[in-house]
Amino acid sequence: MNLPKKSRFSLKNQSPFGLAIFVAMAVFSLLSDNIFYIEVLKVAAIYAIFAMSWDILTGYTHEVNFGFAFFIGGAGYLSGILNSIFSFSPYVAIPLAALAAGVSGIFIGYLTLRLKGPYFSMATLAFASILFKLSFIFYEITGGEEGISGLDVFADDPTKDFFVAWGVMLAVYLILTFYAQSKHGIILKAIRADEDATQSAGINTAYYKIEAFAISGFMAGIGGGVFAHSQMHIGPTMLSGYISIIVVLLAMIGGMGTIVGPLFGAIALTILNEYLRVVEEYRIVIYTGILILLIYLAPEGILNLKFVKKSRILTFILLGERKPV
Amino acid sequence: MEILIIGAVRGALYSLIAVGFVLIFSVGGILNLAHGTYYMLGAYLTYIFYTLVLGAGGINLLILSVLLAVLSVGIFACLMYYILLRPYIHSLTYVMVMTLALALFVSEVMSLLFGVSGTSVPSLIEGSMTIGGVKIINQQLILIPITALILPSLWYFLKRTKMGQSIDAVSQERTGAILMGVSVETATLITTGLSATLAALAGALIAPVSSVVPEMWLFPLIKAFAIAILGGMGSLVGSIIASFLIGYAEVLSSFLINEQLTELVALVVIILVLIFKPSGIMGYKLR
Repeated sequence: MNLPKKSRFSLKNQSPFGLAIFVAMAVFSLLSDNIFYIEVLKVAAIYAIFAMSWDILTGYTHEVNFGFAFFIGGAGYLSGILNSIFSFSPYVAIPLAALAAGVSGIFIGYLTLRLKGPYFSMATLAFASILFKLSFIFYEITGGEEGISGLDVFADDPTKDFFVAWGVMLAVYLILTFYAQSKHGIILKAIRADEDATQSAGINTAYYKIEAFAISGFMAGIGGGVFAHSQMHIGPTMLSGYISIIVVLLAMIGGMGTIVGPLFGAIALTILNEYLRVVEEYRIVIYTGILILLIYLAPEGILNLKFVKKSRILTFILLGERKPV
Repeated sequence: MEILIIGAVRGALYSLIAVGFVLIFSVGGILNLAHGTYYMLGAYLTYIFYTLVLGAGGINLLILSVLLAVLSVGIFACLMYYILLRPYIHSLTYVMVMTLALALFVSEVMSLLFGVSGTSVPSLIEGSMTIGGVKIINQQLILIPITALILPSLWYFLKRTKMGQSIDAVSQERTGAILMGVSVETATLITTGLSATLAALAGALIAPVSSVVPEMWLFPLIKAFAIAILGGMGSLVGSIIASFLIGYAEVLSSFLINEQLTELVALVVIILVLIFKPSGIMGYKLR
């Protein structure tokens, strides 16, 4: 195999569609002075961080991580505790918590990545459920059902707050696309196609999978920390199975293994979810119903649909890939 | 003595849930994450049929509504398999995500219809019994004879009837069974119905003594998976042994250490078994 030794970062390899989403979100929040819309976009940006960081492991290796709440909620709680008890500033607490999430990603990856398919998925689900239960058992620290409230915010102005989330999302997106297009991403794709063959090419597959797991955990940890501080609150919902499932659904509907797909899926569907608040009572039922319908109609995800893959122009605009003629 | 009886009750309940979970995995290769949902639906539909449809009559109506609930869950599971899962049955990721999304959806529908605080169902048999100085609620005790009746008849169905033998054949050697003219489609469909029926029965029977809430699907699912892992995926005997092991382990830990740790036992078992002995106690194959 001939892999590039060093990959260079370039805008040329970026998906125009993905960049357009960022520009559109920034322009909209600068022009609009409706706080509600900006709040919605902020939540959408944070969900996009979750979905993209989930995608770097599962989209590229097809080992489904059902315990993503472990990283999101774990880092959220950790940075909440650091902030409320030890009064660290959010700008210190979030990286520390994310680092802890990344290290536990290495640890869990080391333990579980020998497992395949359903075994791996259920093991990650079990890890997340243990943390969920522990958050109730140690209620003196975590606040039990109530969670931890009154965390420091980034800025008083919602627009500034949004731009913190937006900036983190942009950074995560650029780092992850760069990683996915580098040698490491190509090896992950090779593992997805055939792990045994990749191994016999002399590649330490376990190393790359654990690396992807750690990066995925780290990014999710950043997202979880940003979420906790921008909401000023972290509760057991962020550790529950609900958040894990929603992240999986958002990323799968957008299109696994593309990074742009989960970005698009998370933002579009979160905005849809907020729009459904007009029928608040039935919102979650309708929302999960729509998610099921979308998965049923496009199990590979919207950006992986056949007509997108066939057309050269659409592949370039949506995914940023230049197919040889 | 107390530990012995309560552990046996739990083991019986768990074996009803787990046998179906293992069966559908070994026959259809389906990791059914909606299995806990069928358990939940069994409890909810018993309530719906008894209180809302049949109008809360006597004991006979209660038994009838349990039967109706179990039957309709079986039909619901078959429909879900036929409509949602069958088109992409070969993608393991799709099946897992779809069944989990389904579980989420049903639990949200139930919380919309009946609220998060839950409902309750009257007992099949009132009162309690004292055995060896321990007071046990009759409704819990009834689980033991029912399980003792169902598991052998399940064994009889799988080993002695033609339909059962074809299901058994598919689970042992899929390609071979197809070559022998066994319809894998039919076998999977019937197994889906059967496993959902067993889970629903467990839910309907336990409903009077536990609260019927929308979140009740998650822990049966995790326990079913822990049992399936401990017993070895694809081994029915192993899963029955593992059900009782986990039942006793939970009761022991709640008596000896702390009530709160009960829920953690199954999770720790999953992780320990997966790390140290992924094939389980009776497992013979690991994909």
